Amino acid sequence: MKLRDYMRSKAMAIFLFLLAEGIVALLLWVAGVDTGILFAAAAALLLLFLVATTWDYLVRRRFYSSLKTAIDIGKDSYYVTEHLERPIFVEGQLTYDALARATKDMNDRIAKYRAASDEYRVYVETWIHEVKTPIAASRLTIGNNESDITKLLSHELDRIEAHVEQALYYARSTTVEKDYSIKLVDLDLVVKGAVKKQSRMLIENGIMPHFDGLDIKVYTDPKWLDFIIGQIISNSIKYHLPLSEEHTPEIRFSAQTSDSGFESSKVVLHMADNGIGIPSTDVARVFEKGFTGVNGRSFAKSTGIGLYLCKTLSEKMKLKMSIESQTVEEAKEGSTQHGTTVTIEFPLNKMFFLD
Amino acid sequence: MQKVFIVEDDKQIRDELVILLSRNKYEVITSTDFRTVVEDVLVAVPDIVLLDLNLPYVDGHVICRELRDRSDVGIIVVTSRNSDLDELMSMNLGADDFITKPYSPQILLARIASVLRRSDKVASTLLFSYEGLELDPAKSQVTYGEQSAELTKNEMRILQVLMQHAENIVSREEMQNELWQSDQFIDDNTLTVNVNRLRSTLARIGVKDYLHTKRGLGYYIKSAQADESADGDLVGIKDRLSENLAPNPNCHSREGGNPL
Repeated sequence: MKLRDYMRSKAMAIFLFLLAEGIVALLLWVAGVDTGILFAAAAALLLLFLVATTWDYLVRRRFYSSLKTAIDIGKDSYYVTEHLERPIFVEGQLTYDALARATKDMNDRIAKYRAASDEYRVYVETWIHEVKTPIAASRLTIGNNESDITKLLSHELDRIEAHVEQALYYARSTTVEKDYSIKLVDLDLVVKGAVKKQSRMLIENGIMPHFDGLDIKVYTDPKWLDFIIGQIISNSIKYHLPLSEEHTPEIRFSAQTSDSGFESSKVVLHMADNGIGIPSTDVARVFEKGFTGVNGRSFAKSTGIGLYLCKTLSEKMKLKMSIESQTVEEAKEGSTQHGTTVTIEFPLNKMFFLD
Repeated sequence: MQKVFIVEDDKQIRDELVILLSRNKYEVITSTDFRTVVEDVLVAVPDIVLLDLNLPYVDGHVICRELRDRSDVGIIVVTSRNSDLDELMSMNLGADDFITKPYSPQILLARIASVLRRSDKVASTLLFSYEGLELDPAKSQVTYGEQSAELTKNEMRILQVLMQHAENIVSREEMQNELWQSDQFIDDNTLTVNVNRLRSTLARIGVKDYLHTKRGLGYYIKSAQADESADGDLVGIKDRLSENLAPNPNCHSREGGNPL
């Protein structure tokens, strides 16, 4: 609270005081009081007024300044009254009480919704684990009764499983607490594992994987990374350009260690396909939740969840994820390769994760 | 015959597991009374236990620990929860392996075979044979009578898959998938090349008319001998074979993963 602001808010009081001082001086002068006494009385009045105002100013400044600091610096402004003392002046007390009441109500309500959303998440996770039992039973039944029909059903089961897995990671991505564990893992193992999981779809569409320089270890949660790479592969399958005389669909996985000084050394994993690509107008938005874009609408049904989840999970694990893409038309103009490249950067500095 | 004890409360899964494992030459025992399951297992003396964690009455972890305390039977924990904590806990309680639902039958069989192998209850050499041709995956060698030949990794895998599905057609896609699963990410053309090379290797050691192509469908192995009596007495041939030729008729275990 600045002195000037305070004075301005007290302008009326100051004006009335000066008016009163003038009237008193005038009366004393009319009564023929000695000029010395007149000045002494005026000075005494002014002094008392200044003392009262200064004290009043200081008391208020103390409260309002700490209130302002609490609001400004704390990102959790709903705990503001925790940082404040209840002031001794009445307006301050009213303000304090109102704030305390409002933030308490707010916190109660937040707690209620948090509990509800936690319960919901727990239910969804339980449900996901429950549904895996009938899926496992179906898999076994299909395995024991191989035929053209069960082969079709097996495909459908793959789809169900993919959706279930996505739901599980979605539920996990919404938790506040950390439920992943960063380990040193073999990039080669995780990437090839993810490819093997979708081998049938890749083979059916004639999409060939290529691996280059994956013999590197990175810090990550292997299950989460497996899920992320799985989503990228499934996108590459969805948006591939069909096999033809002059085109062989492929996905290239390559990794390099980029060593630009000790602090910033990192491993960069590229996953490049030669599919239909994403129009430049859409590329920037593909990580947004619910964004489907031109491809999502016209080629394969898209939920706009996959890449959003990848981004969210990456960020939780402190990985940087980016995407570049060129459509067939764009590539023709610039005579470059069409397709989409997703890049994940793994920091190699262990200290990075210890915050 | 290796004995597998299945502890699983879901009836459908249990029934299908019994079918799957019996077909793959395991003796299968199950129990539906989970209060006495530890005793039941100990009485049955199986070679391996498939243990579902989520059971009525008792927690699978408790069963796992009790079994481990009282026996050194191989234990594979099967669960639908795939958190690190569950895995760690099971391993700490003495399980030999940990599989999460839903698993594919191939993976389950591979894990069972590998736990059995590790616990040294199966001879370490796993041989495949069909119609006098014998495949030793550990040495990647085929033997026919007196003659033998080395195979490349891909050729060996192809022959192994065909032997596992003897007399049945394995589609090109399925074959490609099997090779991918053992880290050989080959394309369609390479598969053709590998199959042709395998065929000429087999011809060199005197095995002819063995590996057939069914156009548009895939590959299968069938000897001329089996062809003649195909409609008649296949079982008879197999039996005769098992007496005369192989110490291990047909295959003992289907491996989903890399056998090496």
